[in-house]
Amino acid sequence: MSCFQDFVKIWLFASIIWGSLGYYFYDFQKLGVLENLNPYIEKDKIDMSIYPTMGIEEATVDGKVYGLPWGYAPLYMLINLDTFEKYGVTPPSMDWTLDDFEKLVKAFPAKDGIYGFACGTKNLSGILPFIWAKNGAVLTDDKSQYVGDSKEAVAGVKLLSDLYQQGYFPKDCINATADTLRRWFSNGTLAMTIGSAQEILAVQKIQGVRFEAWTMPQSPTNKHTTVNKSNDICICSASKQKAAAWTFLKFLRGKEGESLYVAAKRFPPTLNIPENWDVYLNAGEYPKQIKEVSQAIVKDYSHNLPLRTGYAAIESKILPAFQASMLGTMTAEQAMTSVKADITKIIQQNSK
Amino acid sequence: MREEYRAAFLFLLPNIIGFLIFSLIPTIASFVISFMDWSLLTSPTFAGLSNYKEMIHDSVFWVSMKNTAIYSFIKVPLNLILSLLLAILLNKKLHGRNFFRSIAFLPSVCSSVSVALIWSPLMESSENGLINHVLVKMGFNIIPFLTSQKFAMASVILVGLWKELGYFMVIFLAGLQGISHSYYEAAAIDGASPATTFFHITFPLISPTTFFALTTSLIGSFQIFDLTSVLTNGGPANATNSLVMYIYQNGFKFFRMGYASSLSLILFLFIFVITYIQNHFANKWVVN
Repeated sequence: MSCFQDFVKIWLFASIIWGSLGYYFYDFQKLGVLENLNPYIEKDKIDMSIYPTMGIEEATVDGKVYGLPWGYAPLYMLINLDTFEKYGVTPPSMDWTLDDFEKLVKAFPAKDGIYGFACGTKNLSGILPFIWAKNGAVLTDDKSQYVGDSKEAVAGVKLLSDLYQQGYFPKDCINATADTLRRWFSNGTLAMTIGSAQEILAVQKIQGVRFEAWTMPQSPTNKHTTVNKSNDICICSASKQKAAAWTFLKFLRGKEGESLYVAAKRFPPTLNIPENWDVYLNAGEYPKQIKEVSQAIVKDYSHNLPLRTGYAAIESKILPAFQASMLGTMTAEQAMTSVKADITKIIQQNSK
Repeated sequence: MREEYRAAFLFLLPNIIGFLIFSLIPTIASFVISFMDWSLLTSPTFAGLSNYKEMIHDSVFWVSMKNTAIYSFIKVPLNLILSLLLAILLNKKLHGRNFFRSIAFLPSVCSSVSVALIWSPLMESSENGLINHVLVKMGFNIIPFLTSQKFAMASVILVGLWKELGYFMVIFLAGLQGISHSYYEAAAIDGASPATTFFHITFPLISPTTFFALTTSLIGSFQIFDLTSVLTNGGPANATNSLVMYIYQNGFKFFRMGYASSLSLILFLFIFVITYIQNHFANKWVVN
């Protein structure tokens, strides 16, 4: 069976496991798919200070580093400046609160099919900022217990559900894909939407859209509500060419590889190399304040996702309950309480 | 004689190999894996009946089972009735008959994913959706096709019907064209009404075709995945989550191959029982 496992691992992952491991990082680490990089890092005396601290923290388990951060970037609140201007609404400041968010959403003429925001329900990343902004959480800090049924977390879910039921979000956002949200945002139907660097790239391709990438709304006592997420590039533990894989990984995630990637303008710079921003940015192109906002997010507004083994299963329980709350078939409290037993079981199963 | 048997065996061999590799062996393997706890990337561990015990208490399993049954037991009869009516209509001598037959058959040659992608914006729950745009112009209220737990499954059934109507129409058309005209002539001479002709001549004589269509349609409907995945992703709130979708999620998103195998075995048994019952009662209504 180990030969078959090796075959599957190598067939699935080759020598290097590319990024977007995000959600499954801890699952793969627990399954022994990922190679511990500490010996390589120590041997080659890699300067770890060039990597974002939170990115390295996310890739570290029990003191062992299993990946190097790639595409470490926030999930921004994208703001369509044209839509704001057209309806005479002032865009928010970086320290805006949930009350500001609610007022802004209601300022747009939803009855005419122009909406302030649309809450996607394809993943938790679109909902968590609003839970955090109510000082709630879905999992405890050590990610060992479900606390999504707390008063604070329920309040975050209730806010979104109430806005949906009152008609301030488009009805179809409950099923909307990222493409659909992007389309609405680009054609002015939607004034704000949550977007990653990929959404920024896609919107930039559409001529004439003036937009900014912004922080998420916060609570008066908690500014850390903007998801800042890293993907990781790792080495497959079953690889027969680990030395070669490490040489390539070192290049990819070193200064040279990062500079090449930034020059391709796919993602904002990941490494702590300030001059890369000048390479990434196109003068005059929107979002014009992305550098200042990204640096401010990393410093003052960022929040890691509560990733752990079984995260995908946990998410699959919460999202339908959240949808039921949006539709009004359950209250927010019922929805977030109804999944507690299942999520507790998932955590127990994945903690063995 | 031996030469003939050898030749026959050789001709059948590719199909036998295909059946063994892609059907029988995976089915047996799935049965064995259903008693394991296996993430695919580590060694499987024997778990006994724990996957089946978990299934009994798994609310999402029961919801997805219910959704699959609703989809199948509503869509299949509607599909057969409508495609039969369409076949009867397009079996008559009409101007442009071939054109209409082609139009009716076209949706069935499109992939389910592209069909779902086409229908998704049509069914938007606002005036931006074409269907609601027309409804509002006619004075009706907007229907939340894919965004309401009440309407979502009905909408998926509608799209499924649209896609498969043409395929079963062709099947029934072939059956209708196999009925000798002498029966209809004799019925006309005896003064039989159209309804009598249909129920006493047409329907019995196409019963083998109907049996085939019913069996294949039911088996296909129980495996609904692509339409729900693209149209609604199983939502809203699991209203359209099918059993195959749930199997996929467990196997490839949660890395629980053992549990996914146990779910697929239950689906297999369910389809097997339904098909067996159909076969058992076939001799009561299928005319040979």
